[in-house]
Amino acid sequence: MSNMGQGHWLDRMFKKKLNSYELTPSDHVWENIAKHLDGEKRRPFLYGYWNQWMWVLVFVGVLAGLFAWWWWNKQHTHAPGKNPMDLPYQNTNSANEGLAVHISNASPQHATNQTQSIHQKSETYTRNQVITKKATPKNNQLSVTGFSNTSNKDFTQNINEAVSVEGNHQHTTSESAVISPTTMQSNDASEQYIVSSDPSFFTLNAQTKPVFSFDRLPGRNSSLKSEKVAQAFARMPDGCNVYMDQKSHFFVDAYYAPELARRSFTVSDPTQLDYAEKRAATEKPVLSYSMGLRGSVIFSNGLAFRTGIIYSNNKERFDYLKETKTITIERKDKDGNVIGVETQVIEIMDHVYNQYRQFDLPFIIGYEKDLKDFVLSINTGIGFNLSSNQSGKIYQQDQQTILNIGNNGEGSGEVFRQQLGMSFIASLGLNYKYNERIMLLLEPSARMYLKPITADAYPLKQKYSFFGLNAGIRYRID
Amino acid sequence: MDSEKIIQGCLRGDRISQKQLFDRYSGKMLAVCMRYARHRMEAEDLLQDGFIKVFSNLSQYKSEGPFEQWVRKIMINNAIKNCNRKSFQNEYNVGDELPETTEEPEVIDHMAENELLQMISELPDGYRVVFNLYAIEGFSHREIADTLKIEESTSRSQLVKARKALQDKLLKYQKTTI
Repeated sequence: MSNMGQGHWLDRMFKKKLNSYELTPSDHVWENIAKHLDGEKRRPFLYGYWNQWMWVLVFVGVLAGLFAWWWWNKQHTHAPGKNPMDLPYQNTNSANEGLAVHISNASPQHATNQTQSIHQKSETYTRNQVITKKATPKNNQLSVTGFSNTSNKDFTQNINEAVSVEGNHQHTTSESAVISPTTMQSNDASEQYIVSSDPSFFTLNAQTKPVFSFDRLPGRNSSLKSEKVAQAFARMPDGCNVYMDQKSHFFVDAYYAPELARRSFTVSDPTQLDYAEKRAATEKPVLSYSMGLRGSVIFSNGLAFRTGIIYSNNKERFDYLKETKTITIERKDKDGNVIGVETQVIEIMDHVYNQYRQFDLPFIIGYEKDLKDFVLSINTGIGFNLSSNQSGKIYQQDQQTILNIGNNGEGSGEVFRQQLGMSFIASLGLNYKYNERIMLLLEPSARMYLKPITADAYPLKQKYSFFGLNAGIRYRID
Repeated sequence: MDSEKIIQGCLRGDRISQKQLFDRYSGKMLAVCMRYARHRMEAEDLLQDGFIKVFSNLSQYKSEGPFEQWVRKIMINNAIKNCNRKSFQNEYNVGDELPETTEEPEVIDHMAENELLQMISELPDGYRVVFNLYAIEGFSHREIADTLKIEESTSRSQLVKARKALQDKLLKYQKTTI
């Protein structure tokens, strides 16, 4: 207010009398305001924020799903017949009865009893190895398919074959030899895997577990199914279990992410609120996307460091008044005489798609947790904007004239920044191990720029955060 | 309760806080709206729209200045928007030659505020807005020109004509009361 202290006597007198004058408004003013505020309250839940909250819900949902899956897996890992790992061990049997193998948490005593009553066999399975054993006593064919456990050591199992049950099957095997009696220490200090062909060895080692045992199952005539399952599981590599072999590994990720943008217009000068409302009303976010190429190093303890490049493209639809046309309608009587003239102003609307493009350099730290055939990763970090540009049109501050915001647009340089500075990045990834080299990425992510895309001098601060779902491929280099 | 607590309550959507905020500022803001409106009904409409805008945009208030000033700016901006833009045009080259009196009538000291408001409300839209912005809000002609998207010279012209019109009204009032 730069004319303070100056002025005409009339100005001073009016200011003195009216500047702090108060009047009491009618009751209906507040009633109408309250009605309007009630209307806002009755808007649907998450009104205006559903984009943001939808993605928060997706985050939470994925997280809850992962936790539930992990919990279920933890609870059922050693439960007979429930672990998915059991399936490949289904036996084939030409009769209406089958044999299945499962890992049981047999008590030492139970294990001992088993070893006393049934034939014992010990085998060693190596990484990525599918072992098919055929034993064909009479009409029965027994197939055993195995692969390594989730750790990175040789997988040693004791297999108890109930071949003598019912007394009809006499088991013979072409590979009944024992590798060598040995004891391996698993992650769990109390868990030992014992390899031996000598039944007496097991009776002397009551801690033996887990124990593979064959149970008789009704009606599993599934030799084809068994093969299919075996093949499917054969694809699942222990080679992806990179976190326990005391080595660091390198990956390259390439992904595409459909995104939703959360935009805010803020003003420091309340006189610009109308302009902010006008901009918000005329520029509607459309589905945006980002693409990323990044390299990761995963250390043996699961910690990860990632960097690369992110390109993002945020698309908005700008609806504007292209022109107004005034039409005159003359009403005439039967004889063609003008009896009335009506003038109408027609507004012709048009639209363009504004695009805001950014290149960012991310520096991300993360932690990865191996979950058998999946890898869960939690990542957070910062990004540095390398460049930012835009194209399209917006309303100027007078809310009537239109500004071309392309790089060559007049005055667009005064409105937008060329670099956005730093951003926060976070993601929660669930990667499926496709084979020993390739993982499929599915990663809900969020990216928030700390600075607005508008210049400091511009009265409106236009700020963005993005919520997306990265989908892509991770390739293991080493 | 201090303004900060009331504002926080309003941000939570608390109706009691919203009413308290309205009660605290509506009297002064209605007087502001009265200066820009032609009659009380229009002023109350402006007040209503202005407060809806205040509540809708309260999160944008950054505590950088007095809250009352922030509310007042919204009210004034809302009132200006309400005026027909044409009111500020086609007025150039008319008022500059009008003589201004430098004599201060004594009657103004005895006039009630509502009588002064009545005089202002009887001014044409363009005169009224420019006079309010310059004389009472303390805007410069440059700021008025930027705010109203008019020429600076137009703002000066409108102010001169507004003063002249008010002086005439004061003199007329003085004559009728004597």
